[in-house]
Amino acid sequence: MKTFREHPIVSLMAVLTLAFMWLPLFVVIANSLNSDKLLAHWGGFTLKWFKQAAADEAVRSGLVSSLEVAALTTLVSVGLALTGVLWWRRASKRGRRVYDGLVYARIILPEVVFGMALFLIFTRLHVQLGVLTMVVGHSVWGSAFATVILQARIRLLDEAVEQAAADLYATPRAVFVKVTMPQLGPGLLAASVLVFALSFDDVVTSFFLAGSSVNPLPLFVFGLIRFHVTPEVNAIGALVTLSMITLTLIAVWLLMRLFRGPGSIAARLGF
Amino acid sequence: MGDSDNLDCERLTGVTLSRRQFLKRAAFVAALPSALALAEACGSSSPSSTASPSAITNPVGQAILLNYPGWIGPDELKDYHAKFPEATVKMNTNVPTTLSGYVQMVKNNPGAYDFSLGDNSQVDQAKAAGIYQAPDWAAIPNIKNVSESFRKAYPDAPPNDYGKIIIAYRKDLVSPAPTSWADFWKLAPKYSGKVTVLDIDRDTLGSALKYLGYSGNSTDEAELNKALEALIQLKPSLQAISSIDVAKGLAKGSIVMAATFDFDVALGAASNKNVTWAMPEEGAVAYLEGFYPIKGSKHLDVVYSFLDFHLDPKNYASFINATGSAWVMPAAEPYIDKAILDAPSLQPDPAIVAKVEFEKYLGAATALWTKTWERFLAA
Amino acid sequence: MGTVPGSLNAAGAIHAEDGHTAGREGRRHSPRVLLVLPTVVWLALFFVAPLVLMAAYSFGTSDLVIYTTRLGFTLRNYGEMGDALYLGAILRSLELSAVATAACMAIALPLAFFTVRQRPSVQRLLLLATIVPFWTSFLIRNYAWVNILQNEGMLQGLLHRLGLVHGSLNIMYSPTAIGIGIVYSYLPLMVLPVYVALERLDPAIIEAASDLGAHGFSLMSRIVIPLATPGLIAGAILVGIPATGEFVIPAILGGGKTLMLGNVIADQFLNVGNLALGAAMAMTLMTFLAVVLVLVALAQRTRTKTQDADRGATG
Repeated sequence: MKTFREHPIVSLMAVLTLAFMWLPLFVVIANSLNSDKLLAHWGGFTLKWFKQAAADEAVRSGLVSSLEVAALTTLVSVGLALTGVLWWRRASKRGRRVYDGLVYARIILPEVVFGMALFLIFTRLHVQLGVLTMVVGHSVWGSAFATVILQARIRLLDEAVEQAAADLYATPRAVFVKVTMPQLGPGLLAASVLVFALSFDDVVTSFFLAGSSVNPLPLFVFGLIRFHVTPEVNAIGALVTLSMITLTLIAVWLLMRLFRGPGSIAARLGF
Repeated sequence: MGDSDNLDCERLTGVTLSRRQFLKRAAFVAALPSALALAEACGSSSPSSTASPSAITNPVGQAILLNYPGWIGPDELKDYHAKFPEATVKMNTNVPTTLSGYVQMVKNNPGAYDFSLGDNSQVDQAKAAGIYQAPDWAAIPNIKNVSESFRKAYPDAPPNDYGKIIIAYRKDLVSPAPTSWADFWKLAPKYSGKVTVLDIDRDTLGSALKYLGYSGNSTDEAELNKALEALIQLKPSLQAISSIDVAKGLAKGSIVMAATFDFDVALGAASNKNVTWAMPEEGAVAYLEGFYPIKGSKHLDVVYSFLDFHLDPKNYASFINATGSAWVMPAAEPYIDKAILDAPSLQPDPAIVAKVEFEKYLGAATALWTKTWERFLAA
Repeated sequence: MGTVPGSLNAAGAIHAEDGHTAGREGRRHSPRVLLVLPTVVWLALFFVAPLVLMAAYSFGTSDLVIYTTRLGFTLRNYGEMGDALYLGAILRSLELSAVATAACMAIALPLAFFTVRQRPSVQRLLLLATIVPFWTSFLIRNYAWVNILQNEGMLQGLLHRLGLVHGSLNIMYSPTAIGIGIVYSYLPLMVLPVYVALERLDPAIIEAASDLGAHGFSLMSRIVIPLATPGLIAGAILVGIPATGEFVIPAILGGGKTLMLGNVIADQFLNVGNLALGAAMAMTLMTFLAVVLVLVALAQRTRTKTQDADRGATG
C-alpha cells in the first residue's frame, strides 16, 4: 500500500493502534470459550458459559431493559437533536452560541455529576426510578452527542446549499429534500447508532437512575465484575460484542442503500 | 465437651453422632450465647425435618431484595415463581462496598427495596435508621429448620449464613507459614504485589484492629487511626484491595497471601491443592447474616413466603452449594456438596471459633469507620 | 465561508431563501421556534433544574445515622473538601486524565492520518474498525485488560518470552493500568474528530510538501498537526473532561487502590450517604471543568482571530 511506503512509521503505528483496540475483544471471546472456571489456564473449549448466560434470567431481563432504554433514548435524543439543529442553522448568532454552549455542557459534564443530580431530583419528587428515569438521563447527554454529529453534517451541508442556491436557483423545498435530506440521512443514522450504543452500554448514569427493580445489563455485569466474577461475564461480553458488530454492519449496509443515488428510497418516496 | 456429653446425646435423642458432627455443633455454640446448648449439640433440628407448608398461600406482587450478586441458589428465584405464579422476587445486586452502605441505600431510596441482606451490625443500623421491619414469624414456619443457636445470635430475621475473615495463602510459595496477623503484616513486603485484602470496610479495618490487639468493633478514634496507619503501611505491598478473583489468584499463584473469606479458600483449593488457610492468633472478625424485611414494604407477603421457601432444606442447600459458605441449617446437610461439608476452612472447630469476634453495630461511630476506610482507599 | 461574490455565507443563504419566499417570511418564524421548544423544555426540566437542586443540596447537611438530608445554608461541605483525602483524589484525577488525554492524542494522530490517506472505501473500513470496539461492552473490554495486564497474564508472558522483562510486571491495579484503560476506552473519541479535521487534507498538499523535501516528522509537525489541531482540541475535550470524572475504570483496573474523584462522588451515593457532601464535590468538579472549557473557548477565539487577521493580511 502506498501509505506504508510513504509513511512507514506512521503506518506501523496505525496498525498497532488498531491491533491494540481489537485485542481485548479477542481476549474476551477466547475467555468465554475457556472451560476453566477460574481462567487460570486453558481448560478446553466449551460453550457452557453461553448456555449459562442465556439461561440466566437476570441476563435476559437485563438485556431487555437495556434494549428498551437504548431504543427509547435513541428516539428521544435524535428527535431532540434533529429539531434543535434545524432551528440552530437558521438561528441568530446569540441563539446559536447559547445552544452550542448547552450542547458542550452536556458532553463535558462527567456522568457522575449529572447522574447524582438527577438522582437527587427524582428522589426528592418521589419519582419511581426505572426505565423512564434512565431514558431521561441518557437522553440529556445522548441528545448532545446526536447534535454534534448532525451539526457537523449540516456544516458540510451549508456549503452545498450555497452552491445549489447560487448556481441553480432551486426552491428551498427542493434544496431541502434533494440535498439536505440525503445529506442529513447518514448523519441521522450515525447519530442513532452512536446514541444507541452509548445508551446500551452505559454504566454511570444507569448506576444512579436504574432504581432497584430494573437492572440493565451493564449494571448487572458491573456487579458481577465487582463482586462475583464468573465466566458468564465473558460469555455475555462475547455475545454483546458479536451482536453489536452485526448491528453496526447492518446499519452501514442501510446507510449505503438508503442514501445513495437516484434509486434511493428518499427519491422513491417522492421527496 | 467430652465423650460423656456424647453419651448424653445418645441417651436423650437415641441418635448417635460422630465426633466430628458433634464438634461442629458444639463448637459454634461455644462462640454464641445459647440457652439451649445441649439440645443444639444433640441436633434438635433433626436431619429428617421436612419443609412445612407456608402460612402464606397466595402471595402477590414483586419483592425486591438487596443482595450480593450470586448470593442465592441459582434456581431459587425461578423455582419460587414457579411455585407462586403471582409472585416474583427480584434481586438487585448493585450493592455498596461498605456494610453501612446497605442501610444507607435502602433509606435513601424509599420504596425501592422490600428486604435486604444484613448481618447483626446492619440490622441494628437499620433499626436506628427506622427501616427495619420485624418479621411475622408465623408466616415463616420453616424457620424451625435453622439451628436454635443461630436464631439466638441473630434474632431479628431468619439467619442465613456466616463466615470469618482469615488468612488464605499458598503453602508452597509462602514461608514461613503465617499464623497471625503479625505474620501477615511482616510477610507482606516480602511478597509485595502478591498480597490482597478485602474491599469491605468492616472486614479489613476490623482485621487491622485485631492485628493491633484491639476489638474488631472498636469505636475509639485513636485505635481506628492506628489501624489506618497499619493498613497504609501495608498498602504498598498490596496487589489490590479486592474481593474478586482472590480464589483464582491464589490458585494461579498471582496472589500468594490474602486476608479473605473462609469460603474463598475452599474455592481456591479446588483448583490448586496448595491453597490453604490459617486462623490468625490475634483473632478474626466474622459475620452472621440473614435477610431482613424493610419497613414500609408493600410486598411483605411475598417477602415472608420467599423467606419460608428459602428455608426449605433443599432450597437452602442449593444456596450453600452455590456460594460455598458456612451454613446454619443441619437439616440441609444431606443436600450439601461433600466438598463443602468437608472444607477445612469452614469447620467450626472450638479452637477456631473461640478466636472469632462477630461484627456489631457501632452507632454514630459508623460514619467515623467509613471516613477512616475512605482514607485508606485514597492513601 | 468568505466573501466571494456569487456564493453566500450561511446568513446570506438564509436571506436568499427568505427572499425567494417573501410573504411567507412572517409565518416562518414561529414554526422555527417550535423546533427548539422540545429541547428547551427537556433541558430546563432535566438538566438545569437537577443541577440547581444539587447546588442547593451542597449547602445542606446529611445526617449519617438516620440518613436524611436537610437543605440549609452551610459551607461545611465545601470546607470538608479541603481534607487531604479529597484533595488527593482530585489531584490524582486531574493528573491521570491529563496524561491519558495526551497519550490519546499521540496515538490517534497516526491512525487518523493513515486513514485519510486511503481510498474512501478503505477509509470507511478503517473507521469501522476504529468504532466497532467502541460498540462492544465497555465494561467487558476493561475487564479483559485485567486479564492481559495482570501478573502471570498475557502481557507478562509475552514480554518474558521476548526476554524484555524478568519477574513481575506489577502494572495491574496501578495508576498505569487505569491510564491504559482510559486511553483504550476513549481513543475512538479522539480518532474521530482528528479524522474529521484531517479529512480536509488535500492530498496534493502532501505531494507538494514531499516534493519540496518535507518527509516524516517535519511533514507531520509542519502540516498535519496544525491541520489536525481543531480535531485534537475537540478530542481533548471529549476525552479529558469525562475522564476526570471516571469511576468505572478505576473501580475495575485500580483494584481499589487509586481513588479518583469520580469514585469519591459515587461513594457518597453508594456507601456513605453524605449526599450534601457528594453534591458539593460534584458542583466543584463541574465548576472547574466549566472554567477549563471557557478558557479553551477563549483560546480558540483568539486563535481564530489571529488566523483571520493573517488571512486578511495576505489578502
